[in-house]
Amino acid sequence: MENNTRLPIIVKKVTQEQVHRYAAASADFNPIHVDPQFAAASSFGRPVAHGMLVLAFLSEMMTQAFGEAWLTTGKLKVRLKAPVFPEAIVETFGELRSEERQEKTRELRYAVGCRVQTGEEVIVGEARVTLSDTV
Amino acid sequence: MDLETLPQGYRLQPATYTFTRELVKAYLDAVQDRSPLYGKSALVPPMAVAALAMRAVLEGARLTPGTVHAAQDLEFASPVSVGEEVVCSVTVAQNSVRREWRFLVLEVSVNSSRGRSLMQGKTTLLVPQPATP
Repeated sequence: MENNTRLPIIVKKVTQEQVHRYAAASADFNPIHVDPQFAAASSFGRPVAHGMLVLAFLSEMMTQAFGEAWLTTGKLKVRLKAPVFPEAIVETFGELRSEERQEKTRELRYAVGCRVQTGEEVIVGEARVTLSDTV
Repeated sequence: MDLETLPQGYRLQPATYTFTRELVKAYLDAVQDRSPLYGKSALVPPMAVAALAMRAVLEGARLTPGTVHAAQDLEFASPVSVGEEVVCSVTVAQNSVRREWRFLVLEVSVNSSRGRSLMQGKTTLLVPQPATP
């Protein structure tokens, strides 16, 4: 945890079947995600993954890097810039931007996001986590 | 209830939600998160708290099909354990129309049943508007 300049990369392939499972798990059945006919008539032209599904990959990256500290001090502020379509391969990224020391803690601020296989950034923003200087 | 007609400052009826083991497992399966943290210590992933508790408040609320999630702010204050009951509140922070989209910003807070803050957040939704002639 001492040398988290770059955060671990999470890579996942999003499938339509996964989108359906997420819809069921989250009770979010917006037809833009699960109804191909409806989605075809939308500006996207086909179903898109839930934003919160893709954001879960970002949170997984933060949990992998910081464990429970993410669950107790984590802050996330992101824009969902572009849709993620089923069959996309999503890759997370996170790079340290600053570190602010307090008396017994330090707050790490990261530029974070997700990009798809074309290199397009689909989510961008900032994540912060506060760690105790207990060592 | 039509969410798009609610004025800025409107507070929806808070909802209680219990994170059962089955719901958390279904969520983890859907997002394919196999972090040992959730298996070992029976904690709920923070994104599951954000997504599921908010849906509990919005249950029964109508939102135009095709609504898009545009931005998300979240602050986690305390982990939620499997089996824990939480109370989720949602307030309409902004409701305005710009060109062909309605901007709906919802402020969300999740507390323990004893009132301890667990999570706060802000969700920005873009709601498609009917084309004007």
